[in-house]
Amino acid sequence: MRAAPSAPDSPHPRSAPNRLRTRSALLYLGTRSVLNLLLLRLRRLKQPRYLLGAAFALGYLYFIFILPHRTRAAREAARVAAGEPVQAVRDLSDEVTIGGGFALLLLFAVLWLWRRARTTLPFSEAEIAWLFPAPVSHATLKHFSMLRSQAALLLSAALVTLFTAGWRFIPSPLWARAIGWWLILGIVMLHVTASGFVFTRLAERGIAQWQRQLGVLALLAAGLWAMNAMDPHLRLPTPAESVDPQALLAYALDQTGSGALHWLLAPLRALVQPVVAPDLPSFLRALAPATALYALHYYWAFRSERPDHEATIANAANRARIAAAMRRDAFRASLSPLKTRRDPFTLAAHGSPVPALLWKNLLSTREYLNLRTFAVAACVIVVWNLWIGTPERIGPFARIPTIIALFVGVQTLFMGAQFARQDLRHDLDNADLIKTWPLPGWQVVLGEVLAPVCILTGIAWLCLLQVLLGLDPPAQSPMTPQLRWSIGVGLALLLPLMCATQVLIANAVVVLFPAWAKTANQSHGWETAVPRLLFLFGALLASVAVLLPALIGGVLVYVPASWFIGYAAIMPAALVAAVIMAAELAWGTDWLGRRFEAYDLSA
Amino acid sequence: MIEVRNLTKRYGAFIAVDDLTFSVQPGEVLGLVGPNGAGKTTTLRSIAGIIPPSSGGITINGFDLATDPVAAKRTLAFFPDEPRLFDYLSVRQHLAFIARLYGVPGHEAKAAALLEEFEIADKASQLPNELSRGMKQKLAIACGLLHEPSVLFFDEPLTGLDPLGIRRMKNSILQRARDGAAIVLSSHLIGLLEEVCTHLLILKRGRRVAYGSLGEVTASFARGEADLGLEEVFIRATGGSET
Repeated sequence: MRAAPSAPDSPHPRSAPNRLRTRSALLYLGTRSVLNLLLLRLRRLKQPRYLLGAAFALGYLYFIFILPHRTRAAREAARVAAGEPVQAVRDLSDEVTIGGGFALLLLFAVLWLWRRARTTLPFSEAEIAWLFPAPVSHATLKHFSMLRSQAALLLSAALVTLFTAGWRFIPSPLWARAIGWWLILGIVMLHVTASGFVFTRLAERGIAQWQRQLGVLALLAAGLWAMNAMDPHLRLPTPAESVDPQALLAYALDQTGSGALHWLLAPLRALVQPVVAPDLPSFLRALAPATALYALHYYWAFRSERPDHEATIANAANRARIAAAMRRDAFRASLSPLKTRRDPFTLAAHGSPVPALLWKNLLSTREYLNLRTFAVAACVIVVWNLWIGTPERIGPFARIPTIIALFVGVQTLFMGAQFARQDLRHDLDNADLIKTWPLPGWQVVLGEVLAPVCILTGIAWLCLLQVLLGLDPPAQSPMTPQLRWSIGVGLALLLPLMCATQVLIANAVVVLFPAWAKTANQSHGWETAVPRLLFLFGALLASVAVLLPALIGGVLVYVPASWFIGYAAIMPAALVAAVIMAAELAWGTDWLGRRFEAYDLSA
Repeated sequence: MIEVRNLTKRYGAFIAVDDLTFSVQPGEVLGLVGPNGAGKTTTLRSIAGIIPPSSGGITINGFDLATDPVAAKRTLAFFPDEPRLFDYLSVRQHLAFIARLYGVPGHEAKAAALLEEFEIADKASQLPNELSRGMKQKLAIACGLLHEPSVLFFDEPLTGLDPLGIRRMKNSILQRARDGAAIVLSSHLIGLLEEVCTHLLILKRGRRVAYGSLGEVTASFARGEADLGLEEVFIRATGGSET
């Protein structure tokens, strides 16, 4: 029931009995919400797919993060018992403390430079509707919002602790790490909130973001200049130190061990100290300054906040919109503000409807994902490899773009379809609308999958171009330029079809298993791990099934042809493989189209 | 024209629509009414080709929806209660896209006229998230009318519209009916049904409990009473309860 407004004879919102009552109500709201969420998750375990997912997730955490740790500890204990020597792990507490402090310094600097104004404390739409008109003081609401956010970090801290449980180079017990991580995360969040309030106030005073950035940069520059002037010890790393990790670490320890940098990092190092504390006494010693910093940050955030109900309501609506968009797998739509973008190409009113679907889905991608960008990127790759980034000019660094291109290319081929989703997966919520369109199923499927296929093919081709140009085989290698370009042309022919295979399979999952696909899309909990893994596994199997006939066809052409024309036989072999794959994809599109026509949205 | 023969839709053991037969001739507006859960939306979605029926036949302008769905769908338009729009397409791009899907000749002029009719011409370059609920509804309707369908299905068409929009929507439905369109309209608003419908189909638990012209349906429940309102007819036909 909605809380009644304060009656004239009711206690003042700031009176002790009222404060106690409202705080207990807010505590009830907070704890009950968490408990109900947990109960909801537990009840879902009655469904086999969620139970399987939970079992899988727990198994994953156990086998990846806990079992290796325990096995290693048991093995070492056995060695000690047997009198065998155990290799001691070097204690890197100092390095971790300095590195952590430096990382926090960078984080805060970036934050002060790039954070936008108009920060508000987070409240949900329901909380605004019920708590704002209720007889609750603004200070109580502030505490409620801030403490709830801090409490939510407990789970994050637990996960970070789990992920860093294997860090044997710090001697701290897990409980110390958990509390330490929570303190760090809490202070970072409070710093983000408090600095946001400061920026908001600066903006209200007419100071634009660029002016603030300029001011922060000037302060940073002045600070660096002062440190340099006052501390003769301070210096940049030498070129030799820059390329040798060990020397770089020694340099960092030397620079931060004393002098200006040492004092600058002191409070930030104090924040990291509890994470590396080896025992209870040292943990308690480290806890005192860290807690003081935490309390200061809390006080700063609390005092900096000024009621801005309009912005709070707008932010709550924005969060609700983002959550709704994530549920329907349209996260980018949730990133405000969406802007009208130019047509990707001119869409005539006549002709096949397939390009219309491509046109529509391209509009839902980033504007820079267009033909011109790909052409410019290709030119950059050519210019870089032929004139700028040659081994003669930049030595072993010339290989880096090729290694990156190889990695990105392989990822694009095998995982790209999981990221480029401007197809039926994106349109699942509009399936009823699509079903009213006068299109046969195969046209719907073909039109829907074209956008991600085009994007992935463009990326794969760019990677291929970089690999072909950047490949620097030894002089005696059989990889002659002719062979390299034969393979290149062959791959260029096959890449679009390989991308199309991935995307088509991903779309088949949506049509064949809509309930599971919706679960995987709409829920972001760990229990969806099984559907996602099954999809990936199924996609891998299906890809192999599609590739196998093409591979066989290609080999059957290559072997006899290579007797006559050598490596040049790669191209006709690739052509035959491409034709086989295209035929398979055509059949798959038609089959999936028929499945889409028969797809019962209400089932 | 719409012909529905023995339409049945089952979900396991549950029968949502049970052996429904009716037809809508050009110029007729059929009101689909019934208590919550009577099967109105399932019926509407089945005859619009969105969900496949378990059994029975549906013909749209002579084209069987099961065997020739593309030809059947070319002449129909479905308007859901919640406007379904694409987040990334502006108002103009929505119309351009629909024009290509349906192959609408001279779509620019038609689109401009529709935008004027629904008073959203000044929003042509805006995205759906910049439009109010009512404007989104108007855009969805403009998109649906662009290819000049001769069969129209409306599911709660007045949701989210302002009084002027409601007046325009009613006039638009009546005008399309006068132009020879066959229209099915599902709504709980008895006033709307009384104003625009020529025929009525009352459903309860998926079954047809009354079907015919407004006069015929009213007469069948009047029990000799004169000037019986549609609301009373509805209550008598459905027994005054959902189940």
